[in-house]
Amino acid sequence: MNDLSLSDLKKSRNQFLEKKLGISRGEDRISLLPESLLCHILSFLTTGEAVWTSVLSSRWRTLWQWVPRLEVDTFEFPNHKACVDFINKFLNCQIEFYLREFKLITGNHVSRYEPCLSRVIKHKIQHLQVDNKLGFRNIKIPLNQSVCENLTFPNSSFEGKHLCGHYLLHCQQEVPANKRPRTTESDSDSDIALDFSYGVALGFGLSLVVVAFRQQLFSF
Amino acid sequence: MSSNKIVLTSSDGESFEVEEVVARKLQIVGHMLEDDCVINEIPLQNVTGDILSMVIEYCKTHVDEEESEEAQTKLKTWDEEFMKKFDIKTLLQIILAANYLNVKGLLDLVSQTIADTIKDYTPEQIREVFGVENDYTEEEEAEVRKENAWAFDEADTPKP
Repeated sequence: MNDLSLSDLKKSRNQFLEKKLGISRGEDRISLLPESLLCHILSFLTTGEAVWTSVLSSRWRTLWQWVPRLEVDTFEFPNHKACVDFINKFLNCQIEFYLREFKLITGNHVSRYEPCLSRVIKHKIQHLQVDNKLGFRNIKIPLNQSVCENLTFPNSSFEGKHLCGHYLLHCQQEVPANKRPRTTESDSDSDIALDFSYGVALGFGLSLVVVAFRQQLFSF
Repeated sequence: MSSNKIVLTSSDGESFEVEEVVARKLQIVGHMLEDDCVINEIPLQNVTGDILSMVIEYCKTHVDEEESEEAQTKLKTWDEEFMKKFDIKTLLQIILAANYLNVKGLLDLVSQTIADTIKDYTPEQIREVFGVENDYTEEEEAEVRKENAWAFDEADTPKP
């Protein structure tokens, strides 16, 4: 007997069991939950853990792709290319922009991920976090028009388009609440901290210090 | 706050009299009360009495969500103990009820508990515990593993 007929046999046995045991057995079955609930459960796993649930059955194969949260630890991948490919593949299969939270754990090769991050923030992302395991290094994501149009600031008249031409940067450490830069509307230089202070004030959910710099001020 | 009582009735006809503040933790009830404030008996079609009583127990405990760290730690311990009481079958029923009744805290708590269980098992063990029928052929399963090989390195290692 070859492998194929064995697996066929397994399949028909499963179908038989399903019919025979029917509803009484069905009550224990996680697959009876609607997909929205399964995705909610998967959102409590890391992306790596959520991805391997794809092996459970055909229904689970693409479920993880609908989780609105992606957490990628670049150290889990054999190389950066594999990781970048994975992020791009994930973004490619997002027919609509479901992604709300993105966390990247990386080392000193952040620049390799900048194109991915530019794509990520085109989604109406509410929580962007980049952790650098190995030390401090800024990333910069150019805020072009299409990215800016998708940045939302809930409960505010502030619009993403005002950030056009700036860079989105991230710093390694969270600044304590009392040392956070403040923006005053009259001071044009202070919009260095625009994104961050709006993020905090409006519950925007940016957990790192994400600061929009004017291009010409970038040198400091 | 008034001590107005609301009667919640389950799909199998069991009735629970609870304080309005507790009932409002079920957002589905909260919305009904906003629409018409004179309701004092609410039928809940999609949840049985035994599950509803557990949801109510959760809501009663979480009715005063105090900010203090001590209160939060106490609640967290209570949550952990509360979850330990249930087998997988009951947890799946509670998550459905929490979703239907719209109790966000309980929904997240059960989701976290189920996710933690998933973390602890190999794929084969998960299929067994959660009753997932593997409908892949061996070729298909191998293909799925190959697609995201990086995620599977540790998944198949049995965990203590």
